[in-house]
Amino acid sequence: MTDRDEQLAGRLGTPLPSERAAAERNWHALSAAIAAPRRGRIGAVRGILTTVALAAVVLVVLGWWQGARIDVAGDRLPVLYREEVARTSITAAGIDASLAIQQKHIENDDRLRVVGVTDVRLGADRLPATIELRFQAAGADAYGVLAHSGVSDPRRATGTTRTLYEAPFPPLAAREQATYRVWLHVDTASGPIDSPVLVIAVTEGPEGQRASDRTICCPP
Amino acid sequence: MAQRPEPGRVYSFSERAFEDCYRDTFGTVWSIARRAARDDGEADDVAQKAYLALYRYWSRGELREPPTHLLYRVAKRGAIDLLRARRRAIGLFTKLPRPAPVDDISGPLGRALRRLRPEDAALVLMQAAGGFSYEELAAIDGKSVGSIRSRLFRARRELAQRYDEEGGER
Repeated sequence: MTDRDEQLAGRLGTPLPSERAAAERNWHALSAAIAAPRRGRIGAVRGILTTVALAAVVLVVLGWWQGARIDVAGDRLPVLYREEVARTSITAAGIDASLAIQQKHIENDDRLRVVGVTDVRLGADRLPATIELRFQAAGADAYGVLAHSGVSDPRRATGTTRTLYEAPFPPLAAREQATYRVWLHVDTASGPIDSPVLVIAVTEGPEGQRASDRTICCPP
Repeated sequence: MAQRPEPGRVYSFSERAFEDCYRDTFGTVWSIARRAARDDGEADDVAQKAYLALYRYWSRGELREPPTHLLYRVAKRGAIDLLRARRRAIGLFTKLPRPAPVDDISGPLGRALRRLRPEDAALVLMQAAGGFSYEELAAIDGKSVGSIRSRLFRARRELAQRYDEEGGER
């Protein structure tokens, strides 16, 4: 390589007259470009916080308004659900009984389960008696018994008996849905008596069993 | 001028350090970008992309080499892209009348530069504008010193030939 080659290439390194103005122009542009994402990040964080706060307010209001519960089922995301799905009762001489279908957590199960909760008060003249929580799957010929108990002796203080229990519905396969007729049957000394029939649909979801009341719309 | 990278070292960032780096290096970056670009606007784009890339890596603590290495490498890449684009444009509009040459950018030297392979042209610009040694250029480019030396030798010789062909002064 000759000196001329080197000198010629060296001419490409001479300072350009536009350098000073370009330095100022580009510094302003860079400062603006660097500052813009910072503002964008702050705006994004503010937006997220506002959304989360609004969502929390909506959930709390919904919960307060509909008697709903927010809970964590199966170590997953929080789920919103109404605890009580359906209710019926028996009111007759010497009998005061209620049956509620609830979706809730029960012992030894992290996931939601659908349970029948009964509260039966019997007067002494109805005893002895047997109490059964019966259910019948859609299309089935026979009914099953979720819970059974017999009572005979009234409490001395009140002269009545009170029987409380909660019985979970049978487990289902993932995403399986079943429709049941559910009722309370009380066989007393003065004759049997049944509650009105509830119709519920039970679905196995990711968070566990969920139930909906179909008593009015669509009996099995 | 260029620092030697230290494996595993993280280069601590501050706005002041970035500003100092800008002040120390802008002349070189501008010289490379402006000679490769058709106008100031294109050169601005190259310079700003290079500094923004440096800012992002540096401010996130992801810089594992001297800041100037990354800066000059990105600027060189931008210059190569511009030179490639200009070569295509020259091919398309070669028959159109050209403005009279006024300086080293648009005159015979500038035209000769743009007839080199873009990678070689960018390397010549880097060496001329930054005054880098072969070792420094090799460190910035991540190539061997021998490769840089032979490429620069060939590129300068070709530049002189093209300069003559473009009617440059002998």
